Amino acid sequence: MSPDRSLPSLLLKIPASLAALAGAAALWLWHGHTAAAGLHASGWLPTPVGAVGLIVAGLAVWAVRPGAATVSRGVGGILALLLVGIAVLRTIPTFGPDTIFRGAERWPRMSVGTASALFAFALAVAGSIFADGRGRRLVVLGLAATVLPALFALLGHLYGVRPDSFISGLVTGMPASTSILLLLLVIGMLGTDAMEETRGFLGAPTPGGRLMRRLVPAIVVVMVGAGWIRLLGQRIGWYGTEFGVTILVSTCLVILISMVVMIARSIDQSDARDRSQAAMLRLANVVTRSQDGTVLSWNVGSERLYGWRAEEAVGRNVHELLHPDYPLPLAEITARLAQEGHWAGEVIHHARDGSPRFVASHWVLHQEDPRDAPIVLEMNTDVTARRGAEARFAAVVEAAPSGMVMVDDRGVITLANREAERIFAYARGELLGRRIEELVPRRVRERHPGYREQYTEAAAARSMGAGRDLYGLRQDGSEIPVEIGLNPVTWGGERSTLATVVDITQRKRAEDELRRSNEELERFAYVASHDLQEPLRTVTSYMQLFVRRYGGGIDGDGREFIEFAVQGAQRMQRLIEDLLSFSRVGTRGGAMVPVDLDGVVDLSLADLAAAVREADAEIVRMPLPAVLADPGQIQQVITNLVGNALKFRGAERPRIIIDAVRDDARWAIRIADNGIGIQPEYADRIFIIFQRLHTREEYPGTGVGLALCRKIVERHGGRIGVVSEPGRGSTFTFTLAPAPEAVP
Amino acid sequence: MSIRILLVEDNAPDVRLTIEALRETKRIDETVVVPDGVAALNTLRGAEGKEPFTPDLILLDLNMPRMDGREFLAALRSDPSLRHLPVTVLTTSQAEQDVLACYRLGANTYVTKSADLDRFFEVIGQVTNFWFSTAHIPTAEATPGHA
Repeated sequence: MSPDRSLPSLLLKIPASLAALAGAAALWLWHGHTAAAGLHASGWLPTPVGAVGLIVAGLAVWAVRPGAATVSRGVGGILALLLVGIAVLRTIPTFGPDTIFRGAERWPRMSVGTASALFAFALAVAGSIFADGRGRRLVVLGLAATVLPALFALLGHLYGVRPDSFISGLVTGMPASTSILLLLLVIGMLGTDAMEETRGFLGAPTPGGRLMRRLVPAIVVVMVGAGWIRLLGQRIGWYGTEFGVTILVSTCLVILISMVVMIARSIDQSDARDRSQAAMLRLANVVTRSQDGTVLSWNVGSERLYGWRAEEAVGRNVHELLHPDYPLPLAEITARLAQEGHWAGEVIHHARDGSPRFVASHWVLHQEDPRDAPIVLEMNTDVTARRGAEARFAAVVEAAPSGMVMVDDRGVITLANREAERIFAYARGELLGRRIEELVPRRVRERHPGYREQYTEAAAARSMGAGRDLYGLRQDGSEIPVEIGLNPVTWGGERSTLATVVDITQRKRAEDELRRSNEELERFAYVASHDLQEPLRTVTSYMQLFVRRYGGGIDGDGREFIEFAVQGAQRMQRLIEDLLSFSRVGTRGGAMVPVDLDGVVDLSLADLAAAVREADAEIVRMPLPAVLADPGQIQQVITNLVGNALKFRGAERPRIIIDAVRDDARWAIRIADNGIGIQPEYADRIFIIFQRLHTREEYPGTGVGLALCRKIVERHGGRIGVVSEPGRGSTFTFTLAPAPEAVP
Repeated sequence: MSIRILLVEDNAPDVRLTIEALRETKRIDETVVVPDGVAALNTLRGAEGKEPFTPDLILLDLNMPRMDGREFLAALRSDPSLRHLPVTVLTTSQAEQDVLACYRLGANTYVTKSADLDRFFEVIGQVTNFWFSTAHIPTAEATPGHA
């Protein structure tokens, strides 16, 4: 075990060993040294018995040092008894410890002052063995009784009192060395466990502690010094006794009174600080109460918060007064308070009118005096407003039509609202604390933590699983189609991700239905293309066969009638074909690929070669860009537009210009002609299916071509329009996305 | 030498139109019409006590009930006594996959029926002209296994 080097331990051990060593040295001097008697006579050497007393006292103090074993304390008690014995035996005139030693007739007897001081000190040592209040009082009493004769002797020697009377003999009988050692031992006794509280008081930051620490040394120095100076002046003969006393008293008065004034002022100032703190505390809500809940004090803050006045509240039980809802069972809180001395938590109190008050409550178990039962100090901070805002926020999150799930950077769910729990079929609160992977279908679960890491590294608000169909795994094992948006959230330095989950079951169902209906439409279109055309072909064929066989016998009218019938059937057939291609724009469309438009125009012009020749048209071609498109459909658009330009030509030679300009993010492809043009008010109408501006006799056609063009361009995400001046020509423009930059 | 044709076609107006077109060629001596593949096979093999009918050319429609043209082609080409017979597919379908499928199954010609009567008559004329004057075809008497 390492030696105890704490301050109380050193405070005790140094005087104890000094006293024991000094006693031993004195005994050594008495043993055969003739100078001993002279030293004793001059008041500096203790008697041999006094020396033994000092040794025993020093050992006794050592034995009751802080942290000493019980055996050691027992030894201390025995040594104290021995000390009492030594002191008491001095009172018997003819028999004493002095007479036991050899050559006792030469040795002086221990003084009465020393004996009484040792006796008192023995009592103090004995008292220090018992750690209760009575023991402490015995120590204080014993030490006071030790200090008095020791101080008497010390001052007597200092002031040169002559032992010319019995009283003065008593005072000076104790040698100066003994008195100093005894005073040191008294200080040493402050290091014992019994004096712990006294030590605390001596060092306390309280006004009392401060007062004592400043006044006691000052009084000692001033009084002892003033007394000495007065005697010195008198001895030299500067002044007589009356003047000396005057000087002593006036000096002491001036110095001590000014010190008291200074100290009193500083105490006042610190008291003012305490009072301003107390005033601030009054604004807070502080209640003191007994442990069973009886209100002892009720401050202004509590009056304001709860509506009960202090005189109404004091004496009543706080639990009846405020109907508190605790976050834990009260018994548990009480147990914690008793164990740790304090407790903090959020409590709902109810004010006088019954309205709830959310308070952050801090309880401290406080004991003014060990004899009193501890009381509970409750400090309650009103957080109702904050809780109201939190409650509103929580209500908004709860009521949100989308599922919200907050996930920390380890993948643990830290928040989930009602809709999220509904989507994933969990009961209230069951999602909290689970790993997010539990909501991921098993086929992608292993990959999911990797996705999460990637996201955290480059966190930005975006939707999850771009281009993929996302499914959530419900608690019952079924899957639900979802759309998920991700937002990085930093909360108190911790990075989290807020996932917004939307149940898209309905949308998915609608999409499926649309796809089914599209498939049906396509089947219908196929059936129509064959089964509708078949009878039309029969009508046409037999009309023609009729003319072929019996043409000679039919007059002009009859021939015209039959011609109308054939034309009608043929137009019907073209309508069916055009409708078919119109309906196939969405369902039979190919993939969007980079397309060289120049090549597409080549193919279109090849299709139209006969019409171009027939119209004797001039085609002007500018270089065209590469675009992202379905090449077959774009060819249909260009063929239709160039075909229209040829068909609706004016009187002069047709001139068709094909070029492209960059329009923001897209290419605008233009096909301009010098044809008959369109009235501006019809510019929109021509793109509607079956809308025609001319009779079939003027310009044949089904009214499907431009509607088909618009449908194709819109499928590509582009727009189509026309700018025209009647009689001067038209310019059709449609936009397409540029092809992605070619990688060299 | 008499020229005989087996027309496999279920649509009555088309049957009549084809017969009219064939008649205009003035080459054909006998045309037997059956409505589907099953009836065609029965006619070729001779069923229910009837003599087997061996045409010089089979004109075959594709879309028919019971056994369609493709199935008939497959059955015909897997029958050793019938596989030599020339077959011209005569249909409204212009679908690429139909053309390819028919030649894969052993069709000798694939011809689309035109909606225009004059053109249709012209095509039938060309087909008969090709098979019965340009091309050499096996004679019924030379057919092995034939009585």
